[in-house]
Amino acid sequence: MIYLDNAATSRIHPDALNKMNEVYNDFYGNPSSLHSFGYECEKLLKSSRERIASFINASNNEIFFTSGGTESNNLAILGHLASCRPKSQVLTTHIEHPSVLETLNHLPQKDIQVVFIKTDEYGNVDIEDIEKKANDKTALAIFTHVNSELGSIQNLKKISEAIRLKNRSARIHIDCAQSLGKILIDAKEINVDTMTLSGHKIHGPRGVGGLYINKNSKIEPVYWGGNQEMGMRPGTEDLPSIVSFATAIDIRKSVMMQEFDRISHLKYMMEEMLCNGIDDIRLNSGKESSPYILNISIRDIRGEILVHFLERDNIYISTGSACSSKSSSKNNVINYILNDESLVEGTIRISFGMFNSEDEIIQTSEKIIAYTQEIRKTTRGR
Amino acid sequence: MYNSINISLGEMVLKGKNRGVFEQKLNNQMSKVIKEKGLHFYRDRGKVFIDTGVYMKDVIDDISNIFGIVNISPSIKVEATIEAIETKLVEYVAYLIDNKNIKTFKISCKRADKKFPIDSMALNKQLGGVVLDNFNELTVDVHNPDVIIYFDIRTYCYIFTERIKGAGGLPVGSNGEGLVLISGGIDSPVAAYMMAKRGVKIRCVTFHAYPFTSLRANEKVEALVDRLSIFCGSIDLYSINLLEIYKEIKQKCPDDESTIIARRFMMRIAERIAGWKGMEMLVTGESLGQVASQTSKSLGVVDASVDALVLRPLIGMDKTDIIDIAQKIGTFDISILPFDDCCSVFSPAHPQTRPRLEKIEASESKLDIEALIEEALKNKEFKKIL
Repeated sequence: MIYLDNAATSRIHPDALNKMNEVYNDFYGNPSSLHSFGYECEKLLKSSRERIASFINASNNEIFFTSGGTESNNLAILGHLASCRPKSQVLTTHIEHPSVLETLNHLPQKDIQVVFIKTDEYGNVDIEDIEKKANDKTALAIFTHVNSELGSIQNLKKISEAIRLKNRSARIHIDCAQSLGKILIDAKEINVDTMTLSGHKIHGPRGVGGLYINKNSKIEPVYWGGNQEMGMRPGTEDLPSIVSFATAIDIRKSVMMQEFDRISHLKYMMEEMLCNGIDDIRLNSGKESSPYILNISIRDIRGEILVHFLERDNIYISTGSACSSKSSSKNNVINYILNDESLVEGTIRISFGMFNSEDEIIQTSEKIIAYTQEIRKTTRGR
Repeated sequence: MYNSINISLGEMVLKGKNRGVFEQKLNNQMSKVIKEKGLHFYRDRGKVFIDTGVYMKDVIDDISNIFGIVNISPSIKVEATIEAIETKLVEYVAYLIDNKNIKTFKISCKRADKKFPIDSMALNKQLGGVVLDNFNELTVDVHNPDVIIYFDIRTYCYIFTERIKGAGGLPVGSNGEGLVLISGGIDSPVAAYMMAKRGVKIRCVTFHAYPFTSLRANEKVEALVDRLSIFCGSIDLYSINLLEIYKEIKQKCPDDESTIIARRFMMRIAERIAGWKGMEMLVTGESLGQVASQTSKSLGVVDASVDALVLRPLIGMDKTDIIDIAQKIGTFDISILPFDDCCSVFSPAHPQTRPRLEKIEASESKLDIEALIEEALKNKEFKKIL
């Protein structure tokens, strides 16, 4: 099997899986329990938090565990806006994940205005547009560090500076689900209020993630219950998943730099092979994009058909984000970027992970080239 | 209060000598539904009853989907003696006052058992008297009563007040067998339902073009057929991959004719499958003028590809009416799931709406029709949906 859909979710690392098993078997106590067994479990929770915090240069009390990226985005947006002034403004882009855009569609406050910042054809945020649109009504700005469709990387430091220049009290939330463990995140340097973290994109378990909340920033909780996660996310902690998440982070810490280079090479190889082997092809991931995501559009095929051709060879790629690719509307991010029906239809996303080899990339590229010809022969007719 | 249900079979009882066959079909389907609950139906002087015990609501829900049943009445079954009837009546009226807040009533007795010593008219009076004696607050109103209390006297006496509408129609299997060309769309499941309602035993064939279409599209068709099986009983589903046929058409025939030619292939394949099973008709969900392949000219050209009887129960219906039925029978929400079926992937930008048979046949002469059909049938998949 060749799995190239790592931006949707990734195979869990054996060490992370073993750790999870171990916690289930040996540390099944509740970290809140008074007895010594509970205390042992609490120590595991604490150490997991410390390792994740230190990995992104944050303090321990700035990391809050959640069930994953979608929940963290919801919690951050609703939590920030709970105390905002009437007629506030939120800045974001059209290429955010549905867990951001849909949350903004369902805000309890009906008077909040959502203002969209321009992005270029590779999905890079236009900083000048931020300077133009940010003002004293801006309560919250939401951007994604690495776009899950295109792989575009935003310059978080510049973005936060541009916003702070216009409004010192505006909050900034960054979705780091696709960047954590893949490119460097330094919480102190980028100076934002909240960041979404996710476990399963980096060979950790599903159902666990985190929200970084800057200690100078306060958000309102959205759920109510016990005092777990300092009341920010009540409910018994999913300790096996959290420890496993921390293990995945430890692994990323040791391999991140060399993996960045290795994956960059894989992406470059595939780009070269596909561009040489297929005419009428567009690279949607820009030169400065994340090595982990390659998004391309091929004219006169349907991405979906290519996905089905490849699945017969046990090769798995994607047409778009798994969260939205089953809905009938065409992929919104790509639609917004390309604005060319026939290219939008022929869009595929290949996303790499630590288990992918050079050999797999060569095999997959060859298949994509061959199947594109076969599909075009059928769809283009004589 | 209720312990039995009383089932009226409607137009089926008018069908003369066939009545026995019809009833047998209905019984077959009913027993499937009620068998799971360990119940059984029985006849009391020609009428069908089920003693439901605690499963009253479940049984009514189940059998209200069975074609051939016109009315269902929750009933109280008692010994057919005047003492037993009177005792139960008092209990029942007390229940009706508590639960239905009735003020006026009427009694309506019918004797299927003429040996019962009191005739219907006399019995109406006598039982009305019992109610009036026991409940001062009630009065008789023969024109517009709050409730009519029916007494159906057979080997036992069945007392009821309510008639719940059944699915109507004729029992499935009483009117031959038909092969429905089903897609993941809204129309064809409704067509299947309408034919089943007129007593046709349904089998289905669906067409896909994997890997040009999604495996999930097949699953969607299965979900639709599964839903239909609630009304139609078990359904055989044949699944045919048309990809090679589409490819050949695309290569060798004019683009604007591809929809019609593909459609003719579907009909031919369906006709073969129907032939294996001795099914006497093909059924489609076409509605006149809805899309290019559904103009009168197109339908004529499509029909010319087969000798079979082709029935189109939706032919004169508007889309909104079709959607209403789809919603009622619970197929609509499945049909609107997003997966493409084979129509949309291969449809040309401008399909012909006024095809001519000679021209289409000339285009088809470039194809090895027989070999393509054989190949498609060889790779068929089959599933029985219960």
